[in-house]
Amino acid sequence: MLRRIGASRQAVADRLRIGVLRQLLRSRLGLHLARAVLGRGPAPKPYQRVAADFFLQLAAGAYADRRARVVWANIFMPPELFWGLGLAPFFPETWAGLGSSLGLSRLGVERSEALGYPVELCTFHRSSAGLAAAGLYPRADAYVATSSVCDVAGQMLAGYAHASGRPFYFVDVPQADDEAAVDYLAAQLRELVECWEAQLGFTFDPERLRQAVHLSNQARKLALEVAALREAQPAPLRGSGMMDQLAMVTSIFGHPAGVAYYRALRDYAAERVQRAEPEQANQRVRLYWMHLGPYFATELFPHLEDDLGGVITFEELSSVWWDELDEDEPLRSLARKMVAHFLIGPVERRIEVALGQVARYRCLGAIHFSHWGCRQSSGALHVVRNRLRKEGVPLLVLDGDCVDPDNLQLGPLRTRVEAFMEMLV
Amino acid sequence: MVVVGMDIGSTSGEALVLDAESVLAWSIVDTGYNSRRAATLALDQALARAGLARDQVGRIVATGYGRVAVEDADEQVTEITCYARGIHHLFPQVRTVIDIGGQDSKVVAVGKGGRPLDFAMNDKCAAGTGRFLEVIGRALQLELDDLGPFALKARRVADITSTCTVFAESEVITLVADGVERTEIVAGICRAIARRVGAMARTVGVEAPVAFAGGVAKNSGVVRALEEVLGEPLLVPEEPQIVGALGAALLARDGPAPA
Repeated sequence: MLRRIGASRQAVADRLRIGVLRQLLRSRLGLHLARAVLGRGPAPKPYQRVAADFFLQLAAGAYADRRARVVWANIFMPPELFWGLGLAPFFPETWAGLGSSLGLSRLGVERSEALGYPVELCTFHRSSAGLAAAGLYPRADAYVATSSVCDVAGQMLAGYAHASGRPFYFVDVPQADDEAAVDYLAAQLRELVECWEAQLGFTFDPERLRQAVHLSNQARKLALEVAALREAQPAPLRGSGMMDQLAMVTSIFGHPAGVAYYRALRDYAAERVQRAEPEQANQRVRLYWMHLGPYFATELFPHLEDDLGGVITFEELSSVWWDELDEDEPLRSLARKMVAHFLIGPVERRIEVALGQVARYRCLGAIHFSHWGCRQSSGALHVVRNRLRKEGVPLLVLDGDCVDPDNLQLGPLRTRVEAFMEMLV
Repeated sequence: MVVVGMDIGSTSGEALVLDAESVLAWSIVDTGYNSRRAATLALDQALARAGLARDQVGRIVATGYGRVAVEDADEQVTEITCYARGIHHLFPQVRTVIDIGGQDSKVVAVGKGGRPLDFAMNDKCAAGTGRFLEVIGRALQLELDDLGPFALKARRVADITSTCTVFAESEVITLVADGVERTEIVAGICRAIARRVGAMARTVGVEAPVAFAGGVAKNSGVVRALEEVLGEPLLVPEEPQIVGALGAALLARDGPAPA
């Protein structure tokens, strides 16, 4: 009986929390509150303030602006396209990570299980499905997914589209990185823009897209400067703090905030280098981090960085992998950017990037965080591991979960990380 | 200088006393629910056997999952490093050591001076660990120590398909109900563990000579099954359970092997 009362209290508390969150997300007041709350935390660095403002703007566009044309997309769609067309993009994977950092992943995962999503599925997608079902994601006017890298994203977005009755678009990204692939993909992007014009009711403004590409190029130059500053020894930035670069790389390019963000980050890193004041004091072993890391608070990073002196010098997914975009041929250059991604095509592309960055950042070893259910990152991991080993780069594989804290066993991870550091020192 | 190495695992805790020349004594205790108490007990027993008092110990290095529970430890080092170091001391020619303990199993590639070069661990799933044997032994009403000799008597090896301890127990019960000999079932269980650990070993690369340590190395059935799976003879220390503690003691006395 007591247990039943406890359970029902929990259910009521959950319902209340969801209801309040739902209302806050859809109101401008909620966004102002979020900005105020963020501002009251430990003094944010200038680039963090830009990022927070950008995501609040993103949320405002997707949740609260009734006139906004909201398009749900996977993170491999180029963000420049959305900003260049005046659309409000919503990336469920990114928001699942954000939800995890806000302590919402358990709710999302449990909801998705109740809906019948298999537990083997990646928790970014499972949590998203649950959070969407709980009404914590905004409405969508359309859905779009690329075939690149993660095939679950396409299936999930198609499923949401089916359930909502809104259109779903699928962009087939070839595995090859050549001109024929660029032609094929650019034609699809042109068709996509035409479909969206008709379906979502706007007129394509080539100048606006050109401007987005221009902003993307500006941000890219600054991001490359950040990457160069991170070569410094001691490493100026704390790697665990840079894990969220994927969210930036996949959403902020093409938006004015992208330029502001990377300029602020560049200035911050430059100042750290100049003053020889690294964020991380204990620096013993330089490491390269592959794939993602947990979005929720965990002792893993403080232990690796502060206790053991492991320096995450650069992260695979912080890479700026594409060449400068051609402002005169925006769609074609976005297609070129898409096919050039190092996670598309043969695994050797990924390995070459890893080896190049290990050498550039003078890393003694690499750590791959294998996220639960993520086939694309782990499917060919043995090939990556063997090649890195052959090149004299030890690779530690950590099995865990980026989103669901219930699926991350800290004890075993600590032992592995400690043993790896003992091995490298 | 007298030093102590302690390996506090999930099932048992070991302490080993070492001086400049040789091993003076060791102890093995059950960890139980309180690893802190197990550590104290193991240390007290080992020191008593060596005829030494606590204040005669110069340095203590602790390893194992319970390493943080060793209050007197001067340093904590992982089992990976300690097993590599301990096995190198016993068998300097060894290039790979496999350890199957109560609740985990690990494979370490051993380099110069007993430095670990690479490793793989399974500590998420009871299959492929000593706990697996315990559960199945209980289901078959056999003592843990009897499982090895029992497996060696088998004329055939039952096929245990499940890789989960809980489901394997159900599978065993079904096999018993089908009239399959207990010897064959135990041999099947040993083979299942060997297959699982063998697969993990290949991720590191099995370079001969290979040693087998940890409590499960006392099980002759698993030793034989693992030799068959790996296609390599295994070197098993006289007391395979103290290899981690020995490595910890060597690290306490001599420090890490040079790179």
